[in-house]
Amino acid sequence: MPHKRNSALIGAGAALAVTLLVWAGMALRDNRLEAALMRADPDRIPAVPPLSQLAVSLAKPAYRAHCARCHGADLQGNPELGAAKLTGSPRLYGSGKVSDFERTIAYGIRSGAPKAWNLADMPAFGRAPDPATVHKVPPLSPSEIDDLTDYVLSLGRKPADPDATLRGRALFADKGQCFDCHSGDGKGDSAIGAPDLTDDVWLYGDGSRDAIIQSISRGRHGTCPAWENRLSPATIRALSVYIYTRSHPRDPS
Amino acid sequence: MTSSFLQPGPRRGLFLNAAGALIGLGIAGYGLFTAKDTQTAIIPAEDLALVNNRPILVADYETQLQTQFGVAPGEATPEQRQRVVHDMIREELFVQRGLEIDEPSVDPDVRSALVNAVDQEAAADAMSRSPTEPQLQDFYQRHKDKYSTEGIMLLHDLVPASGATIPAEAAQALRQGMALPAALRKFGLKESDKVKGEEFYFAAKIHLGDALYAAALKLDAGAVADPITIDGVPHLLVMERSRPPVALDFGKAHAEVLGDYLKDVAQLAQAGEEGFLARRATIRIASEYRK
Repeated sequence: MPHKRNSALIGAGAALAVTLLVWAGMALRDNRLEAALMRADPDRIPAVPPLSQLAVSLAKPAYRAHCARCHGADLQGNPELGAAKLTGSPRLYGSGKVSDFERTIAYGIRSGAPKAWNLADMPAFGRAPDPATVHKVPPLSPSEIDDLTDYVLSLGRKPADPDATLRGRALFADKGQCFDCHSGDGKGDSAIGAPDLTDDVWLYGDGSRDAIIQSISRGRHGTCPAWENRLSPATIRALSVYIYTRSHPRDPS
Repeated sequence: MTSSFLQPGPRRGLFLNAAGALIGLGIAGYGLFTAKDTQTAIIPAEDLALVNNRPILVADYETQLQTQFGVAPGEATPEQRQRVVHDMIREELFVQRGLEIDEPSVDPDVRSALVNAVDQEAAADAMSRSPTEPQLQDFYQRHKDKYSTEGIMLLHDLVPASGATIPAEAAQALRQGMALPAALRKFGLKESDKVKGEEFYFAAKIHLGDALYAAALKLDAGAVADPITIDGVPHLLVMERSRPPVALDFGKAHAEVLGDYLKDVAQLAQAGEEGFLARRATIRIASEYRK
């Protein structure tokens, strides 16, 4: 009887030791892979299958826990909140490289973090000027906002009143100062997060007249939190790779 | 061998003790050498360098490359990479030296940068805690009056073209449907030009002044006010069109509610940080400066 009990104890001890060894081995392997993930050039990770697979496996739970609430489980964004669609193009910030995503995830957009994207803000042209606003832009009258809306609709090749469009174009290039962020041709500027107005991708709303009027009148100040203090650098990089690979399913990875 | 190992005895005891000690050492070693702020010769993978054990993050290096040379890490030349590494190490050395010689206590720019940075850090931390939908709904309910369209009015502010009074019949004639141009001619009136065409309420308030704006707000579309005198000048207000503010439902105000909620949370966090720092500190103020 004692002999049997001893065998069981030793067996359990051996199993525990083997489990510990396996766990230690896996932890060591993961650590090394995570280190390799951090040491690699972020933009080349998608072409290195072991690293991109590790990144995706690390990123999925983090995405569900932290990003899906605004950007959706399918990364399709939420135009009601102004949460950008994360797959496909165009890109609101940067050029869609892993390193661009990494910067946005780490420091955020208008997040309060000193290194956040925070250069531009869509002013509210139909509201009383806020003395605290950094960018002083004079408000527009309701008819001017209507004219600008017609011009924005025309940029997206949607039906618009021709006379109002002409007046709107002048406002775009002059009093409204819209060209300053959205550029003269309305194609936007991904260096400051100014959306392209000529395509049919809308950060806010559905591109209807009402939605455009609301954006011009009330302004837009979307935010994305800075995750640098809440997620590990490896998780942030993994999320960047995950978002990139979802946009580029045919990448070598 | 196996049977002797299965029997209690000095060899088995020694082996189990040694195995236990080795496992324990392994766990302790792992914990010791991987804990945050542990000084080792190894540079953590997320760091580019350690300067007096202070890390320079790879992520910061990549951002710096982008800012300084406009290139992604993979596109940078060895010279550009070296330049950025050199600059970042230099910066870290100078920051450390600055703290060593207590630069913040003498340089107002450093002080203000530190104040700003701590304030922003508190805001950033608070803003990274995403609110739930019920929290946003609750915020919307508590600040519902903020979420409405701007009112729009098309108002005519008439003043005497020459003389100093507005004939009493003018208001009556307009109320009875006399066309505006005809009334202007008949009663010697003109537009004051304070308001021009359709205006948002806020703009009309700025242009008209508080008293005239308050009178205008009482008018429905098509209504004509009794003449009122402001600073010795009589005014006759004719409201051609008026579209009062319309409340926005939660769906339409969703993005704005989220933005305002986060702003609110950030301000609370900043105030909380200030309170915490003040409570934690020992502050003694000389009696002459207490009031």
